[in-house]
Amino acid sequence: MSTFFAVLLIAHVLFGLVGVMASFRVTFLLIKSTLPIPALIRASMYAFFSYLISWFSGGWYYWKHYGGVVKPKIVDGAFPWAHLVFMEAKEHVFLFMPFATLCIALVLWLKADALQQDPALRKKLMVLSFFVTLLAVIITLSGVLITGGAR
Amino acid sequence: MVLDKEICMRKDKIVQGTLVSASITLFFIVGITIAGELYKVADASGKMVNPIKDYLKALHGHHWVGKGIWAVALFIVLSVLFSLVLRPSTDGKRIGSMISALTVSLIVCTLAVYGFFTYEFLIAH
Repeated sequence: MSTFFAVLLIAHVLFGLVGVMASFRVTFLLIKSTLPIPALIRASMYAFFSYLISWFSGGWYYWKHYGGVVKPKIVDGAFPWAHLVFMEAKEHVFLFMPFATLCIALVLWLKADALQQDPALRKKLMVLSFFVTLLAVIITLSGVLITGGAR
Repeated sequence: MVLDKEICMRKDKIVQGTLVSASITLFFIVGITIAGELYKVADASGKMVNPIKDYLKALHGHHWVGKGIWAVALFIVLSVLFSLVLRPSTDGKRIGSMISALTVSLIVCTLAVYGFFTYEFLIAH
């Protein structure tokens, strides 16, 4: 693998992990009785931009390197499900992340007062943020399985 | 005071528009993904091809890139459209319902994608 693709893959993994941590932070901060709005907006923006960078770097790697070099090895190897189930699902489910995290960031940014006053609204956003975090963890674990399948 | 109310209503409409558009975009991604895999026809040589995936690939270089570009375009168009047509909510209930709808969409779409590719591998592969 060339240095360029190695950097793309590392960026995909690192920014994905930053996104998971930022999403977890948003969920955690939404539990508080008095919301720290600036910290929440910051964390939600980190999550959105991290997933976006991970999306682009991983997408470029997937398009230009993975499909021609790594995918045939996995599909012809002992663990074809690593690609046929987990990579196929991961690549499409990853497309959901920027949209969902942008929505969370916008609600925090534009409806901060309503969130502060309405515990029911806050709880609903917390549930959404929790499932975004859970999905990010599932995507990360899928990535681990794909790496295992390639090796 | 009037200006504050106007800004507040505009913010409300932007949030509503974005939430509804995100839910629709998620289902669009699932729909085009599953349709792309299931819709197969034989070409002139008798080989089975995927017309939707091939069309996306011809337009954007890769079907996944095409799905991403189409999803972003759909999301932007629908967000603008819904932000213009939806009425601002007087309480937080409508936005709360839209957030819950997005949560349900996220869960259903994730299960649909993982379920579909598991089915494809176990049954159809």
